Amino acid sequence: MRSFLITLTLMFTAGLACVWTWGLDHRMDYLSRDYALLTGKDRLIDGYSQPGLAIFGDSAVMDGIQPVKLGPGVINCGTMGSTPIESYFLIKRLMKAAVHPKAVLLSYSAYHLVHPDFYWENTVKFGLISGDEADEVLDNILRLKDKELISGSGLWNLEQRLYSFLLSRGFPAYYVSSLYADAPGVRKKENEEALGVIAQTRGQYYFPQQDGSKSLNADTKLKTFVVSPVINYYFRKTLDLLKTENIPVYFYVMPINEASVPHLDPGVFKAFQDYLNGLAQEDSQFHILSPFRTVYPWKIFSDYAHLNEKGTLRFNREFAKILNKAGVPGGSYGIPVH
Amino acid sequence: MLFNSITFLVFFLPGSLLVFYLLGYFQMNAAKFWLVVVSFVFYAWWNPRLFLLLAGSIIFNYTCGYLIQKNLERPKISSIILTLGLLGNLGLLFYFKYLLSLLGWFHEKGLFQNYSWGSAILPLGISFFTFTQIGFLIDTQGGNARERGFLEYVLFVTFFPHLIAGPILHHREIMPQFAKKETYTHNWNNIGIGISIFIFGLAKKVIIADQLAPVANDIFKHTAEKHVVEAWAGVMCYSLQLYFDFAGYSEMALGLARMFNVKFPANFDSPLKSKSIIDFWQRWHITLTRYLTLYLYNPVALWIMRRRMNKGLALLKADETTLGGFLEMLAAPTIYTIVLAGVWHGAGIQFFIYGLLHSFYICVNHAWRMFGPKAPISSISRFWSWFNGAWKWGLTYLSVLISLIVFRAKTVTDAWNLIQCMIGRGTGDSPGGAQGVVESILDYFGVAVPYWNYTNCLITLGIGFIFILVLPNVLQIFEKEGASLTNIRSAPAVFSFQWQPNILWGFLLAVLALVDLLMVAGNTEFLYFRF
Repeated sequence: MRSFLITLTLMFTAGLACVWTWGLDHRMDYLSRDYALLTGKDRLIDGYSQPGLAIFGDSAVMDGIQPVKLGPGVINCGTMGSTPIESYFLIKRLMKAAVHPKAVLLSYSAYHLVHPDFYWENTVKFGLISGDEADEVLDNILRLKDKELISGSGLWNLEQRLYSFLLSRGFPAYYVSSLYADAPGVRKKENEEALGVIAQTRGQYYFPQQDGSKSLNADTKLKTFVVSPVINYYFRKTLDLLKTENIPVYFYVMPINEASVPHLDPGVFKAFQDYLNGLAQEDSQFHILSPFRTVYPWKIFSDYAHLNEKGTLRFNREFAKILNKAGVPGGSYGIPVH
Repeated sequence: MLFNSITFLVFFLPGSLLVFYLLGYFQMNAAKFWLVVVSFVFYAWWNPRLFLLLAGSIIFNYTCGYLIQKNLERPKISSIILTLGLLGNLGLLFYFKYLLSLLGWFHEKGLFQNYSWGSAILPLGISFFTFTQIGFLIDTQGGNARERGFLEYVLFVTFFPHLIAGPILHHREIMPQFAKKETYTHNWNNIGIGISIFIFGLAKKVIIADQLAPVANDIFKHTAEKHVVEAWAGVMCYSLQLYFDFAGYSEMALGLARMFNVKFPANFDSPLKSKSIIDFWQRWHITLTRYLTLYLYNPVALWIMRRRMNKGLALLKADETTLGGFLEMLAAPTIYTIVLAGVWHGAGIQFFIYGLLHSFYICVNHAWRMFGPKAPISSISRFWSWFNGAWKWGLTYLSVLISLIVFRAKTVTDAWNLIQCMIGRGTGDSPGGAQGVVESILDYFGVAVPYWNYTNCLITLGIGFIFILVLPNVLQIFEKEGASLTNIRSAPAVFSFQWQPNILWGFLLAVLALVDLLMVAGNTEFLYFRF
């Protein structure tokens, strides 16, 4: 029995150690494209060298804002389902770069401020924030009792703490389904292509293209607008951080599909606007760009929230004008520099 | 807490085991007390308020048991206490499992429109710990249970490996084990065997059952829109999911108890290999069948016998072969018991139909056994013997499959829709695109297989059937070590092997344990938790 138990224990421990180490070293080979996109944004921040406008936000930003069309100092750090939590830690990292941005632009959908549903599955799982950063966020989640971000409680929050700890440290059980989701080699190729695109476009990445979509925006699901306590905390923390660095902050709401407008709750829309105005009143360096929300035809959308190529071209032309009109520091946007 | 959660595997189990043996080394009662504490923590993990419910139920039943025992010589008083005890337990079950559902149903039908009934979450394991204690009370009244002290009683009811989904224990088989000094001394053999059985059980849950779950869930979500093959595959997936989920849980319980030097009765003995429904019930959820036989079937059968005796009718086995005798002595108690077993699962009409279906199956099976043709075994060739077994197996599995549709479907209409799909009267279309092309090619060759995205499911279904039909079950793999208190009924498997405490098995189980751990991230609940 002794040899059986020793073999079992040693083999199991060694196997787990091997799988865990291999998994951490080869994430690009088997994780989905979201991982490559986040890694691309991370590299963009690490290599930040030309001061200008740094843009943070959700997937509508990642898809819609084309830094190369706006100017040389512009980078797009938008990520899937991003909220102020992700922005805060990315901006904190950006502040450690050789140069600081001249201005920061934030953009989140109302839905993601209420339901930060990508936090565990993308941000923590794909390592956009480090283990220590995840621990800090968890402390705040538990302190503020944020039900939107508590995925399991158990006595003494042990379940939640263990989940956060293991997920942020790349515990292989949370990744194993990715290993057989595609044929070997497929994901590596796709991920390397995505990384290349991010580097080339300075962060812009198209979603699968479609010639129009009448799908409803996620904001239409909201019946009330109550910002998640942790999101509110990190939003304010982000503004405080940038205030300390004396960097002006701008907020812009990405265009919405005309098909969604009749389904939007006017009360939600007003509460969203009031929330942002409240923050702007508290912080003189925080500005809301107008128009507050542009409505675009459904034909230039790829899906419920993301613009297609035609839409992106149109949007960036108009967006450059908005930036210039508001006098956002960082240059003359949209005017080609030779 | 879930057996398949990382918290349980990484912290709870090693911690509780280590402290148990450390305390057991010094003080037996301290180890018992520790087991009770960790069992309560295990139970109240998600909802600390459940602690009060469990504690209340234990105190109530222990008091009843104590009073019954004190008044055994005054049968009237002890009977009244027993009745009160039973009413208390059944009332608790009725409140949580049926009352609000029934009131909701009345509300839907337009009655009591002005009342708001609120809601109650079904407490985990309520049926299991209530059944265990009802058994204890009845046996105490019958003089078959001896009170051994409050701590032992609490441990018997709460011992975490069986607390939430069984096996349903009989105090006679467990209490003596808790009374033994050796139970509190570490035994590497039992720890090794327990870990091995646990690894097998966890594999059944996370590698097979959880992989089949998405397909089964999908099938029962849109029951009217399924292609015939899709419907069959989906229902088969569910049958295997339910079996591997519950059998996996029961084996984990068996393994866990063994790590603490306690032997449990088995709950499953390859039921999906059964060649008759009677056999199926003796191999599926064995401890429930045993419980129902002991506390429902036998008393009713006895009452019928007495009634017949008073009427001057015959009671011999041979009298069951007359129509009247069969209906009264066999069919009536069977229908009563199995319908109640169905209704035990919940308040829905589908559980009643499930019970009715199975009682019908069992009666037909008994009737065939008694009145059907009896071929002389010696005259059958090997092929015919195989064929005879194969069709019996097929018929049994088909009968179980149909009952499981009713069991799993949300409504009877859903169940009927799915049965319609299975006979090709559904509205399911094949998918377009590349999948559609493959399907049309197959169609051209006369193979109407819908090429849907369930390749993984088909592989898992195949693996599941290999496990069921070809490989030995856990009781057989650990036969030499006596995996459980239950005698094995199933015939030797096609490929037979025995667990050995050697390096090769250590290596193989380490690999299986690693795969188990890699698959546990989903933390999926066990299906029988809802009952």
